[in-house]
Amino acid sequence: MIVTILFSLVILLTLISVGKLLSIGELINRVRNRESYKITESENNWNALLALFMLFFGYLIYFYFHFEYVEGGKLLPGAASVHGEAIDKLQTVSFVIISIAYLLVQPILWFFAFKYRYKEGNKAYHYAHNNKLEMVWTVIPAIVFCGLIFYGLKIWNDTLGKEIEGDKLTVELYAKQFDWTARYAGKDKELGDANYTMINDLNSLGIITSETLEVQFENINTKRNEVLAKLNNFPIKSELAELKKELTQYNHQLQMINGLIKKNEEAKFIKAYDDIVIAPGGEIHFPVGKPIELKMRSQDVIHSAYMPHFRVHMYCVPGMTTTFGFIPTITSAEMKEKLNNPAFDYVLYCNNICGAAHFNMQMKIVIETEEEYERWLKKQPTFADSFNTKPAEEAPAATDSTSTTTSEPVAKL
Amino acid sequence: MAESLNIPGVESHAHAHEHHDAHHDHHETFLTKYIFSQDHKMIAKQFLVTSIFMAFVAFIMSLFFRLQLAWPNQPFEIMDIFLGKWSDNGILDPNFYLSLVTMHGTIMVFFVLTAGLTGTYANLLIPYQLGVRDMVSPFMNMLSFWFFAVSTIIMLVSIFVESGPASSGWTIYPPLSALPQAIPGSGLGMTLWLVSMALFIISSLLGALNYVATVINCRTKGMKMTRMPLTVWTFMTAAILGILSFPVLLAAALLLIFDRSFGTAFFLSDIFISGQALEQTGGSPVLFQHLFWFLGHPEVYIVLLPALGIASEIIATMSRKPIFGYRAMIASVLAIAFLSFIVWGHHMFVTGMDPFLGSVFTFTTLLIAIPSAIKAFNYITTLWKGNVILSPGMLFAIGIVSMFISGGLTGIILGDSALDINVHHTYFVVAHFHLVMGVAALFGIIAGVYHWFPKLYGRMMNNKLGYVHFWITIISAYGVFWPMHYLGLAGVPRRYYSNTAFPMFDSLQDINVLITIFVIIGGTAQLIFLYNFIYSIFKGPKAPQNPWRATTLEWTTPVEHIHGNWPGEIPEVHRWPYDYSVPGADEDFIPQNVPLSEKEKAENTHH
Ligand code: HEM
Ligand SMILES: [Cu+2]
Ligand SMILES: [Cu+2]
Repeated sequence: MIVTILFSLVILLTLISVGKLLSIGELINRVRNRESYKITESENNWNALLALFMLFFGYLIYFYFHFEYVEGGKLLPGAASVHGEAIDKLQTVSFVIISIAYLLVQPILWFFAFKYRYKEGNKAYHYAHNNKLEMVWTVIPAIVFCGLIFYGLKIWNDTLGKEIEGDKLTVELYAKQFDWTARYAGKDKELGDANYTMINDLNSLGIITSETLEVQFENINTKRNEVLAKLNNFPIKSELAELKKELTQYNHQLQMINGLIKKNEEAKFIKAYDDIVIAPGGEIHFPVGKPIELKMRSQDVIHSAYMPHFRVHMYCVPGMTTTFGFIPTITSAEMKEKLNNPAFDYVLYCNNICGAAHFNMQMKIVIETEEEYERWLKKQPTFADSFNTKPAEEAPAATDSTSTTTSEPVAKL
Repeated sequence: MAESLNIPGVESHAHAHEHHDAHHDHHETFLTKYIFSQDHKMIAKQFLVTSIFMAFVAFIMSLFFRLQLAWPNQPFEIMDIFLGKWSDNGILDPNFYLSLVTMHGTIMVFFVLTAGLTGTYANLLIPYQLGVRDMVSPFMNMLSFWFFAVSTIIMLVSIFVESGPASSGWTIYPPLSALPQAIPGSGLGMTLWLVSMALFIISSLLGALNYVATVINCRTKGMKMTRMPLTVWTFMTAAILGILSFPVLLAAALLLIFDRSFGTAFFLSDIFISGQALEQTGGSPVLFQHLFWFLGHPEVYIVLLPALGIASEIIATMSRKPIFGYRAMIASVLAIAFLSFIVWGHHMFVTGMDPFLGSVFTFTTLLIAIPSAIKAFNYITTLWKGNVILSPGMLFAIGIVSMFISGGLTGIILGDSALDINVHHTYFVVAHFHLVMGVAALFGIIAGVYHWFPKLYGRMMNNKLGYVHFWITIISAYGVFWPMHYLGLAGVPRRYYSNTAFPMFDSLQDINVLITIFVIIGGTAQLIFLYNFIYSIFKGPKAPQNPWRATTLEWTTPVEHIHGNWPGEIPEVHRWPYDYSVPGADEDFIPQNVPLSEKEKAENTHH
């Protein structure tokens, strides 16, 4: 409502003032018997004055926003990670350089437009080139940029170019439309294997263990048989193509699962049992000062794991695993105090367009001391626990499927 | 006369009596003259009018999503009126928000900036400024427009399909763009998007081949490459960029079509969606991004270089000075063009690419800043000690340089891989590329309209309206895009339907309101331009032959458009295009077709 009124008001006012301007202009022109497209010296002077105003406008927007937002503390607080502090320094240096360039060069442009405005009888200075001058403004930026490049590349390599050494915590960030799941590697410090064909309602990460293999085999086999039944039941033409597509999809999926089952017979998938899965809506906890190795995966489309307070950002791409290592330096409690904002939370959110609810795909992050973290971790059930604690859903399915030997259905394919 | 700055002084060079020749043996029907025209001047106007129309379409889209961003979840009646089912009691649908963003970006980048700049000005000025009667292949030129027209129509039709237009961003990254299950816009809307873009690419290739062939083969006598105006240099370079990079986008689009419709897996792998594990494995979504940005980055220069060329020409003419460092300008255009092919990875620093590769792209990206800096300094030096006439065209040309400086500087932040980690995909990027590409190139189109209107329509536009238009526009442009930098530095991502889900963004909401108010003001100012444009086409004062007292050949053609441009002989060229305020000369400009004087010959200093 407000905007509709505002909008119409602006249009109206502009049109009125333009009309006025025009008719006055026409009148003057007619009086002076001149053609209206010719630029008069007074017009030129007015525009030159406005160019001078642009010079101040350039300063105005720079300093207003600088004091209101940068100094005013409305932007991101200083980095809460080791590499982030280095990035912040580099960013400050870069911003100082480009600010100087902006504050010098932009005003000169507008000032020249003002200063050298047309004057009756003046003649422009025929000045076509000057090699020395041009060398100067090629070499100076070149030196500055080279400095920035080497400084920047050092930070970049420190951030992403190195393996994280020593006692690290490996955590998976798993993205899907439109939420996050986190998985801690657990006691063995290794994440259990996963595969997208293993995904179902109870196993949204597609984690592979003997139990999940059996459940998923049964699950997909049933679905495949349903489709087969429908196909044998003379479906109408419009459904036929869809059903056939589904069938090939399930066949393919069963093939993949059978492959995994074979592998499991050779060497059991056991790494996942001690993994700790934090379902969407939960919190990610990290101990302060500990190297964290994040491993990103995605279930459906590209997402991006963005944790701006730590200067951490990495795409989550279906079909591959990406990584980002960092060391948090400030606990949530300390940050709340530092910002004088008890409501402050670190947060992970999606920064790559992924669909309708892209704008609300987030998870809370808690940075705490090592002891607090250990205490929190103890309370979290492991993946193996989830088989036992949910007998109603999972256990029967698991026992059911043990009766079907795994080699039999393979023959069907 | 004394108080007017642009005295038509060179009427004598032309053949005033020749206007009636315009009506000689050509018997043109309405259809061949206005619709299926093969005349480069008419085709230029067709591109111009279409792109102005598309600019308004894309602008209105941005108005809708800006309203949503400034006042999230506040109902607006106009949404209901315009968007129908995509608005729930005046509140914009989140899927359609993404559609609007996508279509806005696509239309602006391709249908406004690419078509509006190259299509209009390369067509108008290459034959005119080189002394050629028409393009090498007028027929191909006509096809180029008609492929563009059909592609425009398909893109517009796609807005109205049941499942909504494409909505995965103008960069259409798969899997989002490949899977209708992921977002409704990836259904029929995306198919139409791809078809439309394929036709657009064909159009742009037909045009570009023509431009390059014309520049290389058809210059008038004496028009050495080193005597070509900088406009022609930039059009040619942009055309070469297009020829080399657009086919890569076409390939990417084709592979995406295969993935979407025929079950291939070029860009898809290990996807579980809507309860189903897709069969496709082994493809790479990141591969698509490599292909896309291999065009995508040169594309930004395809639109920026012609704008810079237009700025060079107008700034030199209106400062009454030669462009400073003509050869350095050409060299930097070529350097930028070359480098623009090896920087695409700076859009992909955080896709998980090898960090060493990231280092290489950082290095090449920051190198591009050097020729860019040279250009900026040369423009400023051209103004120095000039006798500057601030026509509306000139103001917009200075505006191009201003935007180029402001926007180019933030590229130094984005191009640095270490810094890009935290600002990638935030509003900081949006601010950067709108200033440096969006506004700068748009100013290029507008500056060209004001400056070459006499050559397009044989009339003059109204200066006063032009001034009002310029000052409101440049203030609004900074008012809209400058604050966005700070949103980005606060961590606000682009392509978010609203920022209300994050308490940490609450204190920034007033920025969003401010931006939207400037959008409304700036948009209104464009109506002034539209009025001036249409009014002047029909009622503007008749143009004199050379209103800006410029040196280039287009101003030696008669005001009335005729087939073949020059009624008699094509003028021969004797000098470079920037003989302004030559010491000792009578006038403050010497057109290119004026032979060297005895004195000049003796001095032998000429290009
Ligand atoms: C001078 C003309 C320039 C144009 C027309 C231009 C245009 C663009 C555009 C359209 C984007 C947005 C892509 C997206 O949708 O994500 C962009 C981003 C970017 N620009 Fe520029 N740019 C220019 C100059 C520069 C310069 C001088 C640099 C570096 C020194 C630079 C570095 C970048 C980088 C690194 C990105 C990617 C940022 C990101 O995705 O996080 N650009 N530019
Ligand atoms: Cu997402
Ligand atoms: Cu780029």
